[in-house]
Amino acid sequence: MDFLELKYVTGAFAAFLVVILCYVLIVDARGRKLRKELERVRKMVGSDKRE
Amino acid sequence: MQQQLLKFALAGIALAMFSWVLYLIAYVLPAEANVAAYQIIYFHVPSFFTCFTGFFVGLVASGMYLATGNFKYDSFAAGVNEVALVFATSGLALGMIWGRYAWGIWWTWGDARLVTMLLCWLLYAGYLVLRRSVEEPSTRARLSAVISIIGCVDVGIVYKSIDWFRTQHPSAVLEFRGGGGMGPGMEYPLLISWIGMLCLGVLLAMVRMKQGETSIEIDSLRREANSF
Repeated sequence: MDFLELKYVTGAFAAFLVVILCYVLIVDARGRKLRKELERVRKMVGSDKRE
Repeated sequence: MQQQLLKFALAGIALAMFSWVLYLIAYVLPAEANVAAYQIIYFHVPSFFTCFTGFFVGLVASGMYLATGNFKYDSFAAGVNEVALVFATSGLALGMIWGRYAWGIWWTWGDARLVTMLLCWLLYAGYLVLRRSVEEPSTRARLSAVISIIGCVDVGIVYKSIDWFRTQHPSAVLEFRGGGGMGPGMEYPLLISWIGMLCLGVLLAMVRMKQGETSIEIDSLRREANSF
């Protein structure tokens, strides 16, 4: 395999990893946001019930 | 706890399968496979197999929603379609790199498979945009199900496009599609790579669906809070 081929293969694997990793990061960020929101809403409902 | 174990198992299997494919590519496959065109295909084709599997599962779930009206199926279809779109994106990106190597071009509008696949990608991207823009749950679920069905029709067109139109894309190569095959012992790494991607896809879909459940819980708590 010459340098040019190696460049394409590496580029292809990198593209695959970048797409998957970007999605994982998006899902992770969304998960954090949802957990924070759930905690906030639970506290809100809890304090409303006490009132 | 069981779900956590399942997630770890899926991640482990996916990692093992990808390592196996890389090992096969590097050390086991015959010399003719040791060119970029083949090595990219071992990730490009399974990406599309995985995305088509996901879109098909999404179609079934959407059909179940339309038949039963149960939002569980709508949430399931949304999760699966989103993950399938990620694999479609990786398949398109890898395909463009393969095209640059094999044909000398990144993209051509004259190729039926490329254009129909881009249309498919746009349909499912539109599906996700629609889900964010429609507030009313039953309207959102109904419209999403319809787009999922239309998208799956396009998946069929993408699959058959190389038989119907003789354009830039090579005709069927794989044996199960009636092609001449890639060569002795060179097709099974595709299956291994596909299993790895399926495991990764199921893992991502499980995480995505858990988030869907959390979202529903937040909505119901908000309604409860507003009713006080």
